[in-house]
This record gives sequence, structure tokens and C-alpha cells, in this order.
Amino acid sequence: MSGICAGTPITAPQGYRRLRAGTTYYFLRSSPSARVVTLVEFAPRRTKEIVSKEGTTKNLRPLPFPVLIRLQRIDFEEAVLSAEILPGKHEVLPPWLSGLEGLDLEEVDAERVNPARRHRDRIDDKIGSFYGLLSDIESILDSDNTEQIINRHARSQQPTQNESRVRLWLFTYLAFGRNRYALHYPTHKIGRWDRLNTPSKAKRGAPSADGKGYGFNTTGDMHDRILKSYSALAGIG
Amino acid sequence: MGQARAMTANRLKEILRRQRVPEFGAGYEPAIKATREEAPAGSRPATVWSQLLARDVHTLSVPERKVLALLLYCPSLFELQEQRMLPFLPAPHPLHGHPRAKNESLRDLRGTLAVAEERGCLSFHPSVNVDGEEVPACWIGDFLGFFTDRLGPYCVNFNVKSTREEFAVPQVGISVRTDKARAAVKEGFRHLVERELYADIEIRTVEVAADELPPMLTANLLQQLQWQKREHLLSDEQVQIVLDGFNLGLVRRATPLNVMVSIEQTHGIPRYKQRILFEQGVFARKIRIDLFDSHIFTEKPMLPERTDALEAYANWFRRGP
Repeated sequence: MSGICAGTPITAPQGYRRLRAGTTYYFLRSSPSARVVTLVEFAPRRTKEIVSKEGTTKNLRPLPFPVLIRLQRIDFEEAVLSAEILPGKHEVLPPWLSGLEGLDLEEVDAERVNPARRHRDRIDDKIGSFYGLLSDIESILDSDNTEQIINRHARSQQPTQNESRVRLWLFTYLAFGRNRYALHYPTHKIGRWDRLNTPSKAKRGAPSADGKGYGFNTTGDMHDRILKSYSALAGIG
Repeated sequence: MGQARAMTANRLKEILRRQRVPEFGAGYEPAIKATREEAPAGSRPATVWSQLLARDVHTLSVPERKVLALLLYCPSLFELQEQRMLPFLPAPHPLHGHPRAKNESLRDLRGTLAVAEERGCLSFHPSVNVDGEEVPACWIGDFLGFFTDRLGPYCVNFNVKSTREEFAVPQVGISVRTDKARAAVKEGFRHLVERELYADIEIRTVEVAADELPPMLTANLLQQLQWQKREHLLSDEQVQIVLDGFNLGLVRRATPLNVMVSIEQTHGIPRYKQRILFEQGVFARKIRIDLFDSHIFTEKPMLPERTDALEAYANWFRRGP
């Protein structure tokens, strides 16, 4: 079937049955017994606004929601042959971790000084939460209630795991070549919010010797003027 | 590694307080602690807990941590003193006062001033200005390991740099204004004095370039070091069940997770506790897993040890000269 296997990204440029145009699905399994093809979509979720106890608001960007999609095997194969469905190139990391590609994540993790927990151990915990299902994963994916089985497993863990998170971790692990780094925390997004265009009453940055509230936050205009004056005035010091 | 912070009278006083007679065990205080106040600018200070020493070991760089991991992995090590002052005046043997060395005849250290004078490099010896008067200060060594064999206890001194070239041309504390040739000569004398100071009392100095260590080995050992402080609170019997499970799994090329899931089902021992035992068991050489070829991941099959890290680095740990 033109090189389609677990993890192949699938697109339907014109849309096809339940597959929307412009969305990437990942192939999980084609069942010979149930004669269905199982795909997974990692549906993005809306940014949530979280209000803390102190009254400050923070935008939380949740991880995607895993949605299983089943197609009749015969329909899927015909659609592939008629190019209504196009297989893509395998990806190493999920789209929400694309910024981590090419990094030696093990080395990055080891460089951290006195971390409370290493990312490596977090990944191990995630894999541990669904590891018991892997030996039987084919029949679970072929089953009519795949999600229920995974949810039940998540609840049976000690301590109990969040069901949709375990589903996300399991499907991500399967869809990206059982690559443990597909479960990495999106560290590349930490602290990358737009400070220039986010107004804030609180004084940012390290506290000044003249008090922590002394001074102004940098605005876009100030930022440009600093750059301009630096290049105008800088000399060999 | 090098000192990038200038020595001051107060600093020297504090170092002498901590190091004039360094304590053994949990009471040892390194000359430079891995804190923001003391660690040199641009260093990567971190403390590493050691179960053997029952204290945090203060390291100032990534290369030092890699070497430390391998030192702590050696079962014949019974004591370690990091960031140890090289005494500038005559001082007792490093083993002096240790209960294991009660019956040993130990010679005293001559002090770096005497060695430097003999070598004609007294001008390179560190000094500090106290009330307008120039008084000698000290160099600080990296690790002094205390090992034991059938002949009794002995010491090995470790000098750590990130690359071999750094032993000749220093990288720390160098700016564009530094006279490179003079810095290289000074560095050369510093290492010569350190080697001779210890060689006098039959302590070998091993010069380690951390980039020559297998990266996978150090990554694996450092990972296990991170688990040293955690407690599993299991009974001896349970510990044996888990260790046997891992050793059987190792023969069958199972993954650590396979073992943990099955022991959790059969004996009800939580997976987290088993994980602690696994990481600590590998470090204590109770589970002889391969450390050289790949990272030890819990979902990857365990591979039996092919090269013993201690045999590969036996030269580090042997008795001098």
C-alpha cells in the first residue's frame, strides 16, 4: 500500500469522508481481521485563560487532543490508489515539538544544573503509564472500544493517570516511530512569549537597586531606540 | 578546574579554616563550594549527592561531574575530597587521622612553596595582599580519591580539564589582554608543582581530559547518580526479589519496564520504588548492564555488560607510583 505504515502522515487535499482537507492524520494500523484502518488526529485545543489566586491571568496552551478515526479498509485503499488520500514523509517528532528537531535532547537534559526532575525521567513516567498496553496494542487498536480500554488502563495505574493524556502519549508514541523524544516536554516554547506587545503593570526583570518597582518595562519604541543608539554610539571598549 | 575568581585575604582565611585539617566524611568542606558566591564566573557549579560520602560533592564544571561519576562508581573508593587546597606550607599526609590509616607510616606533604622554590618557579606561586604585605596563597586541586586494596589505603590525585590541550594552554581566566605564552608557562609550572607535591609522598596524579571519556558511559553514570538520594524503604526480602527480577530480565534481554510491570503485578511492589532500586543497583554493580553502547532507557531491552568500566579505567584507580 505505497509504503504506508504506522506513523505515515496522511492528508486528503480535497477531503475524503471523515478526513478534512488541510488536516494531517497519522496512520496507526490497518486491521486484517476487522477490515478497518485506524488513523489518529492530534486536534489542537484552544488556548485557555487561567486566573491565578493573586488575580493575574495566564494563557495556557493545552497539548492537542487525540481523536481516533476509522475508515473501511477497502475505501481507504481505493482512495490511496486514486490519490484522494496522500501519504506523506515520516516525521521524527510531532508538530508541537518541531522546534526540538536536530537537538541531542539527552545532552541538553544532562546539561541542566541540579534539576528537580530530568525530562528523561518524565518521559519514562509517560511511557510507563501505557507500557502495559504495548504488548497487546494490535488487538487494542482493532477493538471497537480502543479508547475505553486505554482509559481503563490509565485509571488502573498507581497513581491514577489522566485518561486523555495517556491516550495522547500512547498515540504519539506509536505515530512517531516509538520515539521516546516524541513525548518530550516542549521546552523550546518556554519564555518565548511576546513581551513587547504584552502590556503589564508589574515591573519585569531583575529588581533594581532603587527598589523592585523602579523603572519602566521596555516598549517597542524604546526597544528600537536602544538598538539604534547602540549601533550609533558603540565603540571598541 | 581553574580559579577565575581572584584570591582575597578573606577568601584565603576561609579556605584555611576549611582546609587546614580537612575532615573526613560528611564534615568535609571544599575550598570552593558550588554556590553562586564562591564558584568562578562562567563555571557550571552543581552539587552531586553521594551515598558513600553521605554528603553533597561540590563540582564546578561538567567535565568534573563526568569524572566524579566514574570515581564514585569505583567500589574501592572509600573517601573523596574535592576542591582540595594544595597546602603551601608543610602539612600532614592526606590520610593522616583516618581510622583506616592508623597503622600506616605516612610522610608529610612538603608544601607547594618548597616545591616551587626547588623548581625555580616561585614567581608563579599564587599570593595575596594582606594589609599591604604579599603573603602566599594556595592552588586548589580537583579531586583527591582515597582508595583501598589488599596493601591498605592509598590516594590518587585527579586533575580534570575538558580537553588535553588545556593542560598546556589554560582556557579559564584568560582574556584578550592575557599574555598567552606566560599563561602557558604558568599553567605548566602549576601542574608540575601539583604532580611533584603529591609524587613526593607516593600519590599519583592522573590528568584527565573529560572529552576523552566515552560520552555514553558518563551519561549513564550521571543519570544513575541522580537517583542516589532517593529512598525505596523496601525490606531486604523485597529488595532481593526486585534485584533478582532485573538480573533475570537482563539474561532474557527484557526491558526494565517489562520487569517492573510484572513485579508490580506479582508482588505489588510499586514501580517507582523498583526504579530507584534499578538505578541504584546498576551503580552499585549489582545489575551488570552495558554502560558503554547506549543510554539505559526503561523501554529498551537491557544488554549484558561487555566492557567493565572499572577494567577500562583500571589505570586511574591503581596504587602509585
